[in-house]
Amino acid sequence: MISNNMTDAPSAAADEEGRSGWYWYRRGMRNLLSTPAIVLYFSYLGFGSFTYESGVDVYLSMFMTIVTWAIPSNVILIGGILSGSSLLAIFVAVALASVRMMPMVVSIVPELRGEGIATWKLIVLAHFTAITSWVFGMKELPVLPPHGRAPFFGGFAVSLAVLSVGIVALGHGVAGAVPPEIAAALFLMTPLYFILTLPSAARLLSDKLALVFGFILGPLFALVVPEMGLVLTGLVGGLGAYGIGYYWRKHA
Amino acid sequence: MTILFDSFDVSWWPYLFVLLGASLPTNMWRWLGVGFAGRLRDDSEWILLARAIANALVAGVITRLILFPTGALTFIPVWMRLVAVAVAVVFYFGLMRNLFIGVLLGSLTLVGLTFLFGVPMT
Repeated sequence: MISNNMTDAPSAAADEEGRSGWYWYRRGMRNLLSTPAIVLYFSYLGFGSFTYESGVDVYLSMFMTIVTWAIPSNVILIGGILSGSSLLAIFVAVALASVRMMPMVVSIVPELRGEGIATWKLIVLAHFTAITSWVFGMKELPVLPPHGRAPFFGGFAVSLAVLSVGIVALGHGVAGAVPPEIAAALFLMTPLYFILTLPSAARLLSDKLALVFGFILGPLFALVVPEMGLVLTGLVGGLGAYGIGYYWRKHA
Repeated sequence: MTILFDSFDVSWWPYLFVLLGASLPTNMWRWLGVGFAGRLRDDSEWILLARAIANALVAGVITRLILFPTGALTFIPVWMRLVAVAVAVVFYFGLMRNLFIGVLLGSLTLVGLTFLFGVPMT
């Protein structure tokens, strides 16, 4: 998307650690107009109109966007509120749908860590780790110098979230004006984008197999065991892919 | 006693409800992830396993968003959604590796099909 700036790089390398961190933060921010970011804005535009249609006020919609930073969790929350579910039932449903966050964070931390990053920084960066920033990070971080990775990721992921809060407000505001056919297309943009980009972020054989298994098992388990479907997709698909990948590494 | 969204008639209750009902159950997994990652070596087999599980989960979420969606997409027949996805995939992997055009083309296909076949959106 945006190529290395020839005039910035040498001067930044000569600066002390603090300055160069800010440099990497800005480098991350420059990706706010990259395709994954724009596609996410469209999804949040769709989410904003969904909150409007669901009768959730604009401030609460913005609040849930930033404190949760996961569209599926917030969609489940709103669905639960509309159906009059208890707090406990919503908590359990959101928890089951969010298990993915743990392996996502476990796998991106080594890409971020560099030399001894503070735990509080990891916790902040983990909060802003969702599918878009995870795919982006797994793809972009490995080629960066270790000390620039955390600020680069922060620059992208944190500003992406802040900007998306504004987009939600916009979507809430224009909800009545957007025809439902367009709203549907906005909702489809996110899965479309991930289907196209996930293969390029999957470097190892086990990663690639896990995607194939996940695509197949996801809907299958959703039909057979609706409550536990996603968790089982991750465990069965992930373990199977890892197992085959392990065998391949040792025997081929 | 069951606690509901409208259990308490105070202005801050909806915000606390969101924190407890969506933010906490999402973020507790992120905190656990940071905790586990701190104990593992970067090239550990566990990291590779976590990557595989994460990839399978994300792929599972994506197909579910297409096949069992929420919101406006529910009104559109499954085959139309699948055709839209197929158009984007064939274009991107077969013709031209341009993400923006790929995504846009898939979305426009969906809009075109809904108007062409007059899908009722209520």
